Amino acid sequence: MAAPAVPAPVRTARKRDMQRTREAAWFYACISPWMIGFLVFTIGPMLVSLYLSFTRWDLLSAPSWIGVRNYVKMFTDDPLFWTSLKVTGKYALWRVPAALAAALGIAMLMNQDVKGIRVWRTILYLPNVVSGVAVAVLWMWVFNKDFGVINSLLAFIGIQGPGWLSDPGWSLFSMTIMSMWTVGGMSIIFLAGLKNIPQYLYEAADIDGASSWVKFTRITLPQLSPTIFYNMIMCVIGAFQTFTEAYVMTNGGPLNSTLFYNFYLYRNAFREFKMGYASAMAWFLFVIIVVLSLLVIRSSALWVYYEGEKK
Amino acid sequence: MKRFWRVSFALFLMGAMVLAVACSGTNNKKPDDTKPATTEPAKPKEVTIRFGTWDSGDGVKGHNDIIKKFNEKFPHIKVQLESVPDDYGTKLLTQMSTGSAPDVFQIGDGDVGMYVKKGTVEDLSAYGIDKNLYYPSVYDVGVVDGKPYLLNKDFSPLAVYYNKTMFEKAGVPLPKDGWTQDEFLAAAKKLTSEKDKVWGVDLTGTWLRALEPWIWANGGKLISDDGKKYEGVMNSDATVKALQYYLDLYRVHKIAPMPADKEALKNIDLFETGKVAMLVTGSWPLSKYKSNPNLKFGVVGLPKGSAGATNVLCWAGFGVYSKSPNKKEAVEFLKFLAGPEGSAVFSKTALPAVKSVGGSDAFAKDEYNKVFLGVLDHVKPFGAKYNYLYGQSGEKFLGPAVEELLLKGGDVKAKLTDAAQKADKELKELQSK
Repeated sequence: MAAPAVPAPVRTARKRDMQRTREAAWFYACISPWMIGFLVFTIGPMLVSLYLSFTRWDLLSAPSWIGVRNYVKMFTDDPLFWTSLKVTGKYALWRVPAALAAALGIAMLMNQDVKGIRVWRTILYLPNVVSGVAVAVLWMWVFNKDFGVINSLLAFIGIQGPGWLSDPGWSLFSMTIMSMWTVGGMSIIFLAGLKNIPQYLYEAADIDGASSWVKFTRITLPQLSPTIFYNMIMCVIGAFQTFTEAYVMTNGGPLNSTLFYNFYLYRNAFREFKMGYASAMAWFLFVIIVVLSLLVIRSSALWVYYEGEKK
Repeated sequence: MKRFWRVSFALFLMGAMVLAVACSGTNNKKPDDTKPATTEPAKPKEVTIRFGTWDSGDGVKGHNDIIKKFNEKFPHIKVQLESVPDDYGTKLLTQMSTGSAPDVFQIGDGDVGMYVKKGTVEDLSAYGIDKNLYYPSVYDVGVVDGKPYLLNKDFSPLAVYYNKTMFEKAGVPLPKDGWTQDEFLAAAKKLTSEKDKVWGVDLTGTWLRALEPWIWANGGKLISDDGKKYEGVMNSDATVKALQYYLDLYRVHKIAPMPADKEALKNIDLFETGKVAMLVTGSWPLSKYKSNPNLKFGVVGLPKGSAGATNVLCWAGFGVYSKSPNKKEAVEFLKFLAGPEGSAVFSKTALPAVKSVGGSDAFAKDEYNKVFLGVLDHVKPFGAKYNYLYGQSGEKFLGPAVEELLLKGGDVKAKLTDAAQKADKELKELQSK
């Protein structure tokens, strides 16, 4: 029986290393399917698309390198590029606050302690479940100038409704209204946030005689701010990526009033055989969304309140 | 023991995910199905060719019929139909970019030049295509630089459908072959009634292909004959006058429903329900109208302008993929598909490109089909025939100009000049290296 060759502390240290390595190995093994998928189906194509943005490629013949010409053309020689940015920006500017407010409102409705509230929650969430194309077709009928629901009701009280989708001045606004249909997802998240607000805060406020408005602005909103923050980022990103509505309902018209950026990108890629240019547009969109998200994140330090955070 | 189950579950999940990824690839069957030579040395090797189309559902009944008939004649060539009803164009482009397009594929008229010039369609000159089988103007759409590349599936020129009942009620003489634009306008004005919300004619709005014959009818042109220039052609006085005439039909004489009106009445067939007395379109709704016993209608060619009678084609056809591994068999199928046998099947629902089928009683003696085949003499080549980049340059700027002029009015000459200059610039850029 020989004395142990290795002193005790080193032995346990080595054992810990081995265990750490084993755990790491398991981690990578379990994450590998997702990792492979991410590299092959997300990062890989992104890098290829970055390369393509410096080429001219019509999908039918091989790509040819043209340097930064796509980007130069985008910023200096393409009025529709700016149009599509304006359309998408305007849409996001309307949609994000409206959607957040609507989602919060619906969430507060869903949070009522009323009999059968579960059924109401389902009903309020239902529009979110209908597929994008079906929603678009449905709303095309609602917005119909002569026979749609809105104009029929307006005619009832003697107002001649506008061409919601056929009038270039109204079309983008109509699409914003239509997009309110799908705030269900954000509502569910707000609901979870609302449920997380400790009741004693409200009780304390009641004791101090606070009005509903004060309770809302001084308790609910600050407690909800992380959720608002999350929903805001997701909403901004989603708004800039709008495509289906333009593709199905308006084809970017009338007179380019609903020429969303993503739709214009698709048109360049597949209808005008300009894959390289479309790739450049896609990367610029990526930059915009990153910048906006960073802005929201940076500003969050000013208005988002995390329980338990040490300032 | 618990650990064993956790480990095997994790492994099972990973395996399932890998399997799912591996099996999610597109249906890219290798078309080469060579069988080893059997005891009969004369038996040709079995080959499978892929046939891409955007038709689907009932629309591919014709395709499947033809495939069956084809297999009776050529049992060793198996045809696999790939029907892509949604985004066929996008899918075809991505297939082309990876070299995996179908052996025989369908494309529309405007794309012919583009696909041929980029080398994706097989030149059919060496395969003995008999061009005398076809109507010249229809055959011509698939010819690029003097060589045949694509053969026709179906086509349609434009015609004016007129509602006999409405004409007789208003006391307007029925249109006759060779009628003029003045006669057309007079008739339409008499048949338009604002208070009844009835229009004289349902025109083709901002559809650029259908606008071309109106431009030509009054001596205008949209692109120079050598296909190189727009400036001076698209905004020439004749073109400006012709476009002004067309726009005035909408804005001054108000004989046609504006796009906003048509949008509102979208699911109603304006012609069938008597909301318009005339309709300018192709042969597509013909069988629907024929089967309506309450609709008494006739068909006549487009009204003549100062430069005579004109017309234009809408066309879809088939070509063979230049990178197909089974070109001979694919061409064999293409010849069958577009020749008399295939045309006989397709002509059950559309106009035939093959003269022998068009000469049959069903067409030569039918009062409607006679007109459609008759106007083929007036057909002129559409813009993309002059330059394969016409769609990406000319139409790209002409479209918004026409839309704006139609919806908001404005100076036609100024807008066309602007469009022509932008189109020239775009064309130069597209053609540069």
